[in-house]
Amino acid sequence: MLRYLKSLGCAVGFGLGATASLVSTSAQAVYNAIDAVPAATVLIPYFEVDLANTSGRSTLISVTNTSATAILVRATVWSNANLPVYSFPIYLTGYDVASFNMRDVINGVLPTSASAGQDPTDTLSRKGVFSQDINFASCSGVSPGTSTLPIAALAANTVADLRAALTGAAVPNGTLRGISAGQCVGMTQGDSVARGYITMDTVNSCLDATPADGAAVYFSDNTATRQNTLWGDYMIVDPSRNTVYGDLATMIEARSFSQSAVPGTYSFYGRFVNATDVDHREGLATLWVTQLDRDSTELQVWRDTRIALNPSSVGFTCGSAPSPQPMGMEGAGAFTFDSKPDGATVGTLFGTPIGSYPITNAATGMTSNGKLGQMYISLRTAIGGNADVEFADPTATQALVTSVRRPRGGATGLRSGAMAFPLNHVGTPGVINTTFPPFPPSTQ
Amino acid sequence: MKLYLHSALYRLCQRFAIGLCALLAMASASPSQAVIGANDNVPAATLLLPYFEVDLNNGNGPQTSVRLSNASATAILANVTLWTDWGIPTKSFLIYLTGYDTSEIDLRLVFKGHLPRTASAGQDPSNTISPKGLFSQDINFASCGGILPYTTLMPAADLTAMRNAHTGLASTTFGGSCGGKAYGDGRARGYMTIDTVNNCTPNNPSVSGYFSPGGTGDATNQNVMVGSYTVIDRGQGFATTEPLVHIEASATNPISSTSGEPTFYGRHVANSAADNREPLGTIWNARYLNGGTFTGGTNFIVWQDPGQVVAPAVCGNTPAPFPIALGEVLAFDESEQVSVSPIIGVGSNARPANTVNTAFPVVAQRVATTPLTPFAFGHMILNFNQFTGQSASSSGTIVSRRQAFVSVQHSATGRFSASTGAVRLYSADQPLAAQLRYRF
Repeated sequence: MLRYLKSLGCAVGFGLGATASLVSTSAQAVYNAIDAVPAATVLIPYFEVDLANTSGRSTLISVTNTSATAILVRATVWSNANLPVYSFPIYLTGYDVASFNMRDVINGVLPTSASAGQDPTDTLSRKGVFSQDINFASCSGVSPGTSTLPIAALAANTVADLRAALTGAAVPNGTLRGISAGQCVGMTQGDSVARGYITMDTVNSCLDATPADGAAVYFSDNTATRQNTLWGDYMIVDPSRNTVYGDLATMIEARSFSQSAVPGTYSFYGRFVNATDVDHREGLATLWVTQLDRDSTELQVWRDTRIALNPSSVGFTCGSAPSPQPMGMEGAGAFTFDSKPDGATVGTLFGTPIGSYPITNAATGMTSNGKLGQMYISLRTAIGGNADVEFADPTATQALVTSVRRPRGGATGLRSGAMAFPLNHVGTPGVINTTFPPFPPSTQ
Repeated sequence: MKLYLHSALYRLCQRFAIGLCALLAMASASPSQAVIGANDNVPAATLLLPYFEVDLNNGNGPQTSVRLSNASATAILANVTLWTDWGIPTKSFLIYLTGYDTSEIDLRLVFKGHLPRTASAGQDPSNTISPKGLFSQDINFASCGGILPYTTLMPAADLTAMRNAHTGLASTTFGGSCGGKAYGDGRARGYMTIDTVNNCTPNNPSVSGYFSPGGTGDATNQNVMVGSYTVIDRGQGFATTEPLVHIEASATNPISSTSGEPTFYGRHVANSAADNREPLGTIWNARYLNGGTFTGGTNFIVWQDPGQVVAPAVCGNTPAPFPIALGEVLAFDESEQVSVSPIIGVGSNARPANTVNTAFPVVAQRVATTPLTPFAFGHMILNFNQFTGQSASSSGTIVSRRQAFVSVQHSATGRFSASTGAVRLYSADQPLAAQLRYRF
């Protein structure tokens, strides 16, 4: 299988196993809850890779198959403008785990794997005694429009495009699908740090497609499957500063086959299926509360743009901001340890769909000096435009918030992170129809 | 529904000053709907800190602090209970939270005798101890008169008793017996629960009457608390923050209200479900990284239900049911090679049963994963259900569902650490017959 932490050095162990019957898991899935259980889609909500410093921060990602059944996964890398950049398959035998460093991915070295047909000697994706190993014929690359396993290293011009795409620069060569040379697909932050997020879906073929290909190609049980067997985690590591923080990925379960799609429901990939719910994926929340500290907390935010896409045309003119940026929000405000409210006044506080935002008075418009206890964030917003996909609540805009804190009194290098607490769920009818009250300016 | 009422009140009050409008709207706001049986971190009636370590002799050693927030406009009372790593309660104290209030519980200070200083309206007439914000309710819990606020250090004898109890030494809390495992390193260990209560009760979850169906005992069913905990070890350069385990309550959902079915506090309510708390998972999956950059390897933080009320023991003895035998461990490497325990003759890389099966011997512990696996990297499936009849040729039978919670800490010695959590594969609310056995 894979060598973990290639760029950081590692060793892979192996052992002998006795013959045993195959056992599959079938854990209970609670739909419409953001819970840490195996799922059909794994969301790594944020990654960073400092491309200018090979010893700088990068993001380590793993995805595990909790079942004895072999699984095919489609990993999609998205920009911080929430646009698809690149996708590739990962094959997992039963109980397999794939781990990779995003620095390697961006440098064109993708995770190595192969199904039984492409790996007859069982050396690339080894099969353990409890593990199923099957052939996905589509991964042999015999049909146009399919990926081939094992994946070859990316060509230099594609690597250049990938690096540019994820740092908000103009792609030089136009090798990425839907992004012409000279176009951008990410928002620049003025540095050489690649940013974005990753989704990993269970699929039934190596079709070279992403969720943006919508209901007819990717969803409606065509390519993406409903196998709730995956989970993942990630760590953002900076060896040069001796800092790391990590968290579980967000596991997004698929509904069971006994249940049908409910048109109008806000599902995770709803914008790609025109609100028909045929992606069969539970959504996230619009209202979050997080514990934090002023001036030593960053909130990592993932936001749905609700914009339908033509996957053959996702690039935009560099220097502009693709719709719906900058994204507004219904409101945000914090309470100090004395329960005193302090309202944020910056309406586009989380304007870029994927980002890490320092919580300071200057950035948020908050004014108090009291020690912060918790912050409420409502990310509902009207988007509008022809490409806007609306659900039962036209301003519902799902999101995910993670709080990364530097512990009080800790050394500069200490970092810790944890997902915030959702207060509603877009898939629960009626619950999301709330109005977030305005926070008054602080009186402290 | 409360949230529709929230919106209606808000629109109605828009005729008035914004402050009043906001006040009324916030006062009627309801926290998220509880999804009983889901492993989700949403406002809850009970929060679990699954394990703590406090180095009593070295301020730069591991220290644990908890941040507790009230996610509602309604003032609440929270009962904090410390438990030894054997699952025996030692100390309870109360925290009053106005609406949207936050309080910090620094265990380093608690083990020095300092308890968080809060007070309800009746004990805090000048609103200086637990100030009330614009959107916050502040009410009087009359039962807290003479109790809150905590103004003095804990009596020295009580403090010594508590410190001894949590370091595995003889403690007057237990009549001179011991109530926890003795590591001999001067670190207090155990776990913590926090419950919403309706009075300044002297009781804790192990006391009869603390729970009554429908939240009518001391404990209520108010799903309004959120919390996180931070573990800092400045000597090692480690810092991790994780959410507490959020355990929701419901008096109507069958998962948390059916007598005979597992609930979180089941062992303290004779499995009657009177606590109305959802149970935790029984089978967990977690990653381990014992090498490469992570020179310190991976530790699992494990809290598990002992399945019975535990009594103190004469020091030097270990009471029932310890050491707790883990049902199954499957350790996979990244090539799906597997080591299985209890030993079934899987080859030279399997671990002997007497080391792996009791890898998590007590209720709360932090355990290195290296003894559990012959591999450096991979993932493990941990089955906490209780088995009978396991042998080299038989996977045995699950006779009892046993809930647990697992967290994961990876570290690079002297450099950094990170927590990433574990994933629940099965829950204690799933029927016994549905719980999976992995060995065969």
